[in-house]
Amino acid sequence: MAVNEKYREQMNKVEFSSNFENETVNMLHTQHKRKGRIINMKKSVKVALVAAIISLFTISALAVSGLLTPSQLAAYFKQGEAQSAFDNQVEQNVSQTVENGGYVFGLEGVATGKELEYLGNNAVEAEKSYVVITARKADSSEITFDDSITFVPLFEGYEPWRVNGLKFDGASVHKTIQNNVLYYLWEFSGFEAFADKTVYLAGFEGIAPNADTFTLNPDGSIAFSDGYEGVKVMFELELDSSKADPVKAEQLISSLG
Amino acid sequence: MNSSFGTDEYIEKIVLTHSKRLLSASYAILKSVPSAEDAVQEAFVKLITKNPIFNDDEHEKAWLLRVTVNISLNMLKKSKINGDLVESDVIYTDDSDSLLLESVLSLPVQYRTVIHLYYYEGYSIKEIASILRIPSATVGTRLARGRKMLKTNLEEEGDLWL
Repeated sequence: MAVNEKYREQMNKVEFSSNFENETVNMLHTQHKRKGRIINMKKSVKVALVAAIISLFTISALAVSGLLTPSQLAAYFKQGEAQSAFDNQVEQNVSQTVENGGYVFGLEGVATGKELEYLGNNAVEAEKSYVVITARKADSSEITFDDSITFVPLFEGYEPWRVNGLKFDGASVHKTIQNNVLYYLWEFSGFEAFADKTVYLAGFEGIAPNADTFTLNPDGSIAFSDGYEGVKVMFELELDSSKADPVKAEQLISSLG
Repeated sequence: MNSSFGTDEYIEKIVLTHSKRLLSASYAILKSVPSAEDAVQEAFVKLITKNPIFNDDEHEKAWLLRVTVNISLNMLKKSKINGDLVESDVIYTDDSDSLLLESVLSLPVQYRTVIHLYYYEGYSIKEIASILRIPSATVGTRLARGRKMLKTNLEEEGDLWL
């Protein structure tokens, strides 16, 4: 018998608790329901919550624009690392807006490893980046959760379907609707390593970038394909080029196979 | 994006699909059944609370494995400080030979982790490097050294290293 088969056979005979799977499923159901209750409760008191936050941050961007700030949004989702990263931003990100497909999308904040390193966190945490995006209906009609729109970091010079931020481990998203604004808090890993190139944050209809949606131009820039007719959002992220790490970037690319 | 994320069906599917391999990976690191079960439950909770995006099932599997390995390594590190981890004996459902498993578990953690991912999961050196976030060359070195130690151990015990 081959070593791998023999090892697998012996390992598979280790006895774990017979009710492990049932207990774990029940525990996860409870966790998920509790999480849902917290979100539902928050939705039911969202007006009061927003009003309370406004009163606490009277001179903040919230008071000026009517939007939750990235830090407030991270706090809402109980994402402590993201909140700390936004709170400790050395430079203020300039917000960008794109109107397309009946929506107005806003890039409201990007906090990268620079802020996290400032906090003295470890290397894995320092690789994380947080992005806050808002979406509103251009005609001010009621917005609903739209799972068909995905945001993804893309990198100048690389085919989006081969190299993109969703392929690196650690991509996750939290969403909420507050005051008819759909907020996304995205967490990505590794994209700051590409900071010496143009890093795009693209919003599109689909699950994963492909050649029907995006095209890589001969000069390395990335655009939507001519034939693609869905929602098109393309932000260019203003990253600190001194944080680029070409060796790390190559490692990430080679890990994709 | 996981359209069924968080549903009862999704939770049952991920637990039934991944529990065995995650428990094995954690056990290879912690050498303790109760601690491995704690680590794997923590990994599943992270999945539910973090809502990560996966390109496909393989990505989901690798993510869970990486998180489980990291949690297990952190637990091992803390246990060395607190002394609160009790290693289990290898518990079998029958009296089968367990020499190879015991030899793997006797290796230092950095070697047995790589050996486990290589032999149990069938990952390549490059894939293990991606999961553990370490260079491929380091994985190759650990695999070679781990195999050499195993060979010596097993030959001393009269078993054949194939």
